[in-house]
Amino acid sequence: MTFVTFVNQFISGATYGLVLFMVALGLALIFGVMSIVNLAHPSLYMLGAFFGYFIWFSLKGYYLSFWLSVILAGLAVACAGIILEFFLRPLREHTEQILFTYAFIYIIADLVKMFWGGRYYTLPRPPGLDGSVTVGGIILPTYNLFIIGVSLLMAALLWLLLSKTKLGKIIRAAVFDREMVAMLGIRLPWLFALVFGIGAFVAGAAGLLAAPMGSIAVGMDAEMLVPVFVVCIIGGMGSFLGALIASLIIGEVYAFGILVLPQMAMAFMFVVVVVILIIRPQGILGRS
Amino acid sequence: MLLASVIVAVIIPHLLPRYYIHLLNLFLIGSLFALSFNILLGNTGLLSFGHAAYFGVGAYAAALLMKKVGLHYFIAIPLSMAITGVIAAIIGYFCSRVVAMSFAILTLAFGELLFVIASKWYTFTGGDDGIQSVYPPDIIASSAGFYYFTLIVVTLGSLAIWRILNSPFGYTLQCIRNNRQRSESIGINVRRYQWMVFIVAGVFAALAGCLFVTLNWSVAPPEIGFVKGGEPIVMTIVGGQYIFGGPIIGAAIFTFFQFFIGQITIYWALVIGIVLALVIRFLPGGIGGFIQQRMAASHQAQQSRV
Repeated sequence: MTFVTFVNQFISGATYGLVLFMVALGLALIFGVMSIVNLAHPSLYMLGAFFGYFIWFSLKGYYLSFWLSVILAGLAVACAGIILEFFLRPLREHTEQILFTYAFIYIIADLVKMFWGGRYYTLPRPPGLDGSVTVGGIILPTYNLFIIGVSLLMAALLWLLLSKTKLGKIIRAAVFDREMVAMLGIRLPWLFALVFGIGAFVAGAAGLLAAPMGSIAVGMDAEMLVPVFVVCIIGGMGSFLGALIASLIIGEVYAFGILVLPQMAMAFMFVVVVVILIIRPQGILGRS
Repeated sequence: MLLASVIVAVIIPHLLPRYYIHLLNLFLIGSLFALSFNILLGNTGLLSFGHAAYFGVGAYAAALLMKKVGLHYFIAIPLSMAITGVIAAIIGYFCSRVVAMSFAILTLAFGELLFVIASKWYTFTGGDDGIQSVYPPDIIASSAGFYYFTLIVVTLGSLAIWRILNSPFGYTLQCIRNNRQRSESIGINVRRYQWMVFIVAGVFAALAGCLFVTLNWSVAPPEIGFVKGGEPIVMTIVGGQYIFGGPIIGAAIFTFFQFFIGQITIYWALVIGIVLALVIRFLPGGIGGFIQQRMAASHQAQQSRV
């Protein structure tokens, strides 16, 4: 393998990994605060791609239409997430919650099929990011570098929100002691809806951001499901930094695995899962 | 009552058109599959999203043993169950290290791994095409013959599961479900039990898979995948996870609804999703649990009247 292929493969692995990371970010936030595993999170990612595509399509030709649709798609999916959280609210038991979000995988997939059909939609890269840059003689696609940047930016913003703002303090307090937070006059239902909304926003925005690198179709939720949750387990449920490390590992393993055994690139991922779980059953940065 | 149901079960293939016998077979296989799933969920409190893996591995193993090795069907079945048991033991070794949500996701991940192997390893598993023309022996090749065979196997399988759940082993599982830490502190090796129950559930799912091969005379990768893994979940939750017959009720509802709703709309998954969500929200014990509750209530009412 030449150095150039190595760098290219590395970048594409990092891009794939960081798209997973963006989806895992919302999951980690929701799990960390509410201890809910939202199995429908990849479905929200798909929903973001579809919403975003049709918003982009109706705004086509306007200045900054892509960026506007990313934000609008994120907001629309945030609303969907808040609705989901509303339905989830009466359920207390973990198994019930996880099964309930599982039911929404079916519901969202079929609703998408109903409204937009089983067709493929493709989206061009936004102007300014459709070219490539040359770094030290190696040609790299700008958009992939942009995805790497934007996902790290999202993580940084979320981290700032959680650690530096008042809202973040409240959210972190709710992780430790819900009753006490409620006693202090914070409306927990609103807080939970907001947290779910933020998580869904990130997933929805990620759906459209990742769309120009592939296509938008029914089934993109199922494609994300396993890798995203693998990232969550091996990173340690609820840990941001763990999810970042895990998503980079999974992305790179996938990108280089494809060079060795194209058909079985997925299988390498499981070797990593098995090895990590033998060493650390609770995940890289998980609390046992 | 029991005699009447036996008579009905015996004469039914002579009364119904052929397609309904097919549905009946699907229902029988589905109930065995869901019962094996419920060993994990209802009795041990472990939610597996990859249970179809063992159903599929059982089906594939039986088909491969018959096609490639040329074994007789009745020898292929126990062998395929043993093979699935070994695979379940390997996967279960890792899955028994984790609980609750990590368990759910890890089973899903391993299920997908087997799905990828089945759909991509063309030279061995036939890839996306699966394995076709797996002919059952003549004695069960006819529609009615296969129905009787399935009926007997599923009845025996269900009885075996019932026996296991009502043995000291089964009670230990319930103890683990109710309080894991306490079970550990009274000296139960929880991890080992979790591993064992994983294998047991996998072996019974494999039996259901073997029957499925002979029903369709073929097997393909979807039999292993995530969507198939959803079937026992829906059956068990809708039917009721806390009573033994719950998964059977769920299998009946699932199979016949799938057929009738499938004729009305293509959005079958939407209906299933909504039904599942409603049952979880309003009938946590499932339909079976609801009926049992009602019967207990009316029984009590009668007693208090006397």
